[in-house]
Amino acid sequence: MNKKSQLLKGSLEGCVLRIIDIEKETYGYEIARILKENGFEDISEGTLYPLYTRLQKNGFITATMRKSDLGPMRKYYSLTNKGKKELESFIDTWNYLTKCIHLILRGNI
Amino acid sequence: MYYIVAKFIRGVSKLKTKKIIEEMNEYSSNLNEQHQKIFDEILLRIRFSELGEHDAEEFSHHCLNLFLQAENENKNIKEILGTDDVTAFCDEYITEVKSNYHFMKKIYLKIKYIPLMLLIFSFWEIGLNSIFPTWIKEKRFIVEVPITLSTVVSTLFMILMVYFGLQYAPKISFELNHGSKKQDRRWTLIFFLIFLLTTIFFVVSKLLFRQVLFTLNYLVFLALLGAIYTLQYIIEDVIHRGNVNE
Repeated sequence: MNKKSQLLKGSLEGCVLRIIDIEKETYGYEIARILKENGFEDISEGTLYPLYTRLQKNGFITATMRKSDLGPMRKYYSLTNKGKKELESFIDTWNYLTKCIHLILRGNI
Repeated sequence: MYYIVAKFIRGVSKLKTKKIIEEMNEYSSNLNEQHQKIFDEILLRIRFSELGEHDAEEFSHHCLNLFLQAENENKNIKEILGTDDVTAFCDEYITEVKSNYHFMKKIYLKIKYIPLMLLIFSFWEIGLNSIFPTWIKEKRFIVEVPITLSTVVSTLFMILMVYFGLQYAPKISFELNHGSKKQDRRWTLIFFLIFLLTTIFFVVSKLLFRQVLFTLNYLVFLALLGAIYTLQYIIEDVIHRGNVNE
């Protein structure tokens, strides 16, 4: 895995929470599609699916099974209040980190 | 053969898991031949892994949805899965999920089929060797059955055989390893030898280890296994309800 992928993977949880937040209710295929179209080309479902399960277990998202237009049941994810708080906290941490990293990289130390 | 044994031993304890499996059987037949082959490989690798039954079936069901969506949009499955290496794809999921398991869950997953195996092998050893012959010959139903050393040894041996069989099945599977016919013949010979040695073991144990160790009330034994199995069902159902709303 290259450096870019490793950095992206570290921020994956926050990105998935934000995608679900934007879409209100969405499913695995859609989340993966949005991620791939936005720089996460190398991300595999083998990484994403356990992440959804972990987010569910932590109470950040809920999953509802409903019939899809293709036939079988599909899991639709939506953000919980706890998930919204987690996302806000992620955004704050991310902003703080990027600000600090920018300062260092620009030589403003 | 492994697939049938695994499915039988693992059973389908929860209705929701059963529903998922039924859906997979129904809709996977709609996939094109190439996708069906890849999907079957994923199914076998995930089912033979050391994952909990629900984690395994849910991920397989999720993969089926991805395959159907890919076909619907005329997209390459590699693009959807993120890789064309099915083994790496499955291993990534298995490693990720297993790393989040509590060690108690890992132990539980290793021993959860023991009550079911005890039920099957005790029926074979006690039912077919003691209860039914007495019932047919003497028209008498015996509940207190003598347990010989042979019965204990054979049952333990069979549990170990099934355990190792399931453990090593994916590693030696011709289908999963895309092996050559030569390799397949070699494994057929090995299996024949294992079958032969097992038969010899059972015959010798029946002849040599006939001493009675204790008597067992078979109905109490069955009730105990039933209680353990019900408890397992309830625990797994409670865990599952916490994850998904239906």
